[in-house]
Amino acid sequence: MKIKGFLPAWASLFSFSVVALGAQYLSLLFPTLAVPLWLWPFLLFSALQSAYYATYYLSKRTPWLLCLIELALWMVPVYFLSGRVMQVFVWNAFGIFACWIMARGYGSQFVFMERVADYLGDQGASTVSWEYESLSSNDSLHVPMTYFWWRLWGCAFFLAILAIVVHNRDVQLDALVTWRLRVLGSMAVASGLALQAGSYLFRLQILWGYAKADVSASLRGVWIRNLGIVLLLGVLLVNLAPVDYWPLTAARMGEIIRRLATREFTISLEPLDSPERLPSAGGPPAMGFPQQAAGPWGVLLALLIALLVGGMALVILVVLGFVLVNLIGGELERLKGLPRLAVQVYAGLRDALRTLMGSLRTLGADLKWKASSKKQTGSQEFSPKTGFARRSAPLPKGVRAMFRRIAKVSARKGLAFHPAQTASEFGQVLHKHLPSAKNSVEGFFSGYQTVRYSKQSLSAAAKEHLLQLGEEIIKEIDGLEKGDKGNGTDVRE
Amino acid sequence: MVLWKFLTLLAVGLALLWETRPAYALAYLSVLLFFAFQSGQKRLAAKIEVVRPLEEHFLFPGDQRAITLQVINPTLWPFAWISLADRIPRNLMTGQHAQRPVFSLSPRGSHDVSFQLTAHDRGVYRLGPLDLFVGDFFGIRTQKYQVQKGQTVVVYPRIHELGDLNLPSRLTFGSFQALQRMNPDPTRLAGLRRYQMGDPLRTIHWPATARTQSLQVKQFDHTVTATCVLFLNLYSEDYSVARFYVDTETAIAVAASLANHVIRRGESCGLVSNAVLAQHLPGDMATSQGEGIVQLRARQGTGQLTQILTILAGVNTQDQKDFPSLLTECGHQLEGAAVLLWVVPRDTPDIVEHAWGFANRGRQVLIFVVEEVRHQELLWRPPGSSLQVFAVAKGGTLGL
Repeated sequence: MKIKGFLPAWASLFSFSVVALGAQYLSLLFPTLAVPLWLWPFLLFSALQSAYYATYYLSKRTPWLLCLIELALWMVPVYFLSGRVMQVFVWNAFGIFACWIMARGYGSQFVFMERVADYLGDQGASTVSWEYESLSSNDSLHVPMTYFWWRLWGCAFFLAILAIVVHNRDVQLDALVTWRLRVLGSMAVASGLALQAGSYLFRLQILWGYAKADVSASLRGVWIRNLGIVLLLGVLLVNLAPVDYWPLTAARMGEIIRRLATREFTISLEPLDSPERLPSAGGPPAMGFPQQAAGPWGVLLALLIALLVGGMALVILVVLGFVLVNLIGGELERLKGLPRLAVQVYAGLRDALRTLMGSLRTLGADLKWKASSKKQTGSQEFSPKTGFARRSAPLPKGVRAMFRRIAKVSARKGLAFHPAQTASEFGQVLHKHLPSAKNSVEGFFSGYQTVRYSKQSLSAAAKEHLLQLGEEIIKEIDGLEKGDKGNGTDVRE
Repeated sequence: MVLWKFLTLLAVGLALLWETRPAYALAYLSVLLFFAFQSGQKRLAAKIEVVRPLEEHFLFPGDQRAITLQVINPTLWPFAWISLADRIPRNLMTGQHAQRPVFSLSPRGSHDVSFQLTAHDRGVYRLGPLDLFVGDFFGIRTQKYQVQKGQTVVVYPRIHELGDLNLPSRLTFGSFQALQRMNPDPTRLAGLRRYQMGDPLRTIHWPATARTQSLQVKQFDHTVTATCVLFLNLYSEDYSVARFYVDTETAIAVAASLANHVIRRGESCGLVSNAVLAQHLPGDMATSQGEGIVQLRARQGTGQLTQILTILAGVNTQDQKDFPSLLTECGHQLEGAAVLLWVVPRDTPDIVEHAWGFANRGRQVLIFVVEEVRHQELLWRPPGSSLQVFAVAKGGTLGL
């Protein structure tokens, strides 16, 4: 998974923790603004949805209507869950909107960062320099990272101010609230710094791509591991470092100043004027036009004013109409792309689910392998170059799954199964490239045809035999060198 | 950056005056990010070691070689990214762009970085100094350090077959026909004659004897091994301005090819040139250098060829000493040198006059002209002539 895949998650986590923390402090100040627990998942998932959607699909051509639909998707359940009480709903909806819009901002910024060519212009890729791009550079105002810094610092400052206000109001915090504040604060620090570092890495990766830098394959892993240590240090610092030790606080300074003022400068300042001398608020108004009878000039003036007002109203209506027509026209134009967007979103979700399922499967297989390797540690072969011999992936159970497995393994060796090919054509390609497994290939692919396209059902023994053939083919493919063309033929021929 | 430091101070002020953990957390993090991390990284990044192998690399044009540097982080500080930019001369670059490796360094970790070199043209090149850029995790500050250690890469001149240089591929020198017939060379069959009493039986030519029905013996040429000395003219004024680079490189390639030819035949070969040597030429050369003169005594063997090629890799033209002066100064030092191979841009009358002088003193002089032959009558004289002129690479395949 690329770093771009993690960034929206970190952005939404940060947005969620900031908004939740802010709402928590505000609820301490104003008890009517309490945040119910059920709202938290709404906050988090709305931020996730907004950030991922903005990162992968949002563009200038996305209809506004879609944004409204997105918001409505979150607001409608919240409205019902808020007991249809408008006051409660407005506050909850505001929290969701804050999370959603904050995450959306991050997502849009990721998209902007990818458009390096827009601000590179005619500049050659070889001139791209990441070595000097940092906050301390003279050009730091134009560095995209400043956006993240301002947001991070702004949010932190806002939360600090809220915390100070709560502190100065002498609000009593029970253990649960303190714990919540600690957790949310730690989450905000960790996700904020992770987002900062992740977006910087993302920015660097984009620049490295343009500058054709030779980036070490292990860089991302080492980066994330080391960043984890730094984040841990940050979280520990925030939670464990001593606080409130400075003797000269604002309250004490105010106290000292007040005492000094009362001791040395005890001058009683009398009011400049007694209340009696002030003009009475209840008296008759001093200003105002005298009421006079309207003459012919008055009528003319009234007509002129009416004409002026009418003209102005007309101009405003024309401008408003023009803007509306343009907006609606643009919106209608944008709506044409809606089916395509829907397909893109569907494909993206499907891919994401596949990746997730694949990762889970790999994780499960790894865990199983680890468990079995613990038992067989003594008998495991060890090669000095590759460590323990690489286990083979668990074999699929069905014939069709075996076919997919063969296609996947052969793709790694440069014999990709092209979508335009039939299974039989793919079998012919393998037939050419695996001269030592000709019989297995023929046997497997004819069996596959039967399983896939005929209504006959295979016996368990035949199925087992086919799977065995498939296993042999995979072993043969594993023995091929990558890019090996066998007898000089290409896969797509 | 000043703005962010100011904001840090603001956060610190806020924390100290109004307290609370979030305010302190902001202050701590700001100090950590904008002050502590920066100064820490600046101090610790200076300790990064770059280990560069010190030995020279020797390449032929077209060869590729990877040089590996090891970057070591002796500290406990993790470095988010490190980028190296080695100053690789354009003639050694692989591809169009300079290689810019980027990697991450864990605490007490190390990373090997390889730079791929492709030798394009002959020369003595110096790699380095090396620019080391270090960045943090958050894009706050990047630092640049310079590693002064360098490394020398010697690219030998291109060696051609003599046929490729438009020269007779069976050009013979070094081992040539002796005037006093003392040692018959069994590899040089000169003809047949009738058997005379006392002729060794192994010289009898049996097929000819069978054909003529009388004993015939083989007659051999008599040879001696003589020392060759290459004279390379690199006086810049002698080369035409329009083709200066091409012709000087051709001359050097011709000298290298001749040296290779002579030494591969088992003869001894020396080198004399009115050239200046490159600054970073490996220092263990057995050369004697005067002002504008490079001289290497004649010897046999691959070691000698390596020395000659290394010198030829590092020679450059000069404008102080012309070729006749070189001949005058070095001519009397040619102990035992019987064959003189001169590589010159033109066979000027002065040069030819000097050549006749050497020829009259019993030496064989072969002049290889890389630009223009003026004495056409000396071209293609019979092999073994005391003075011959050869036109090099005119229409040959020398691709310089």
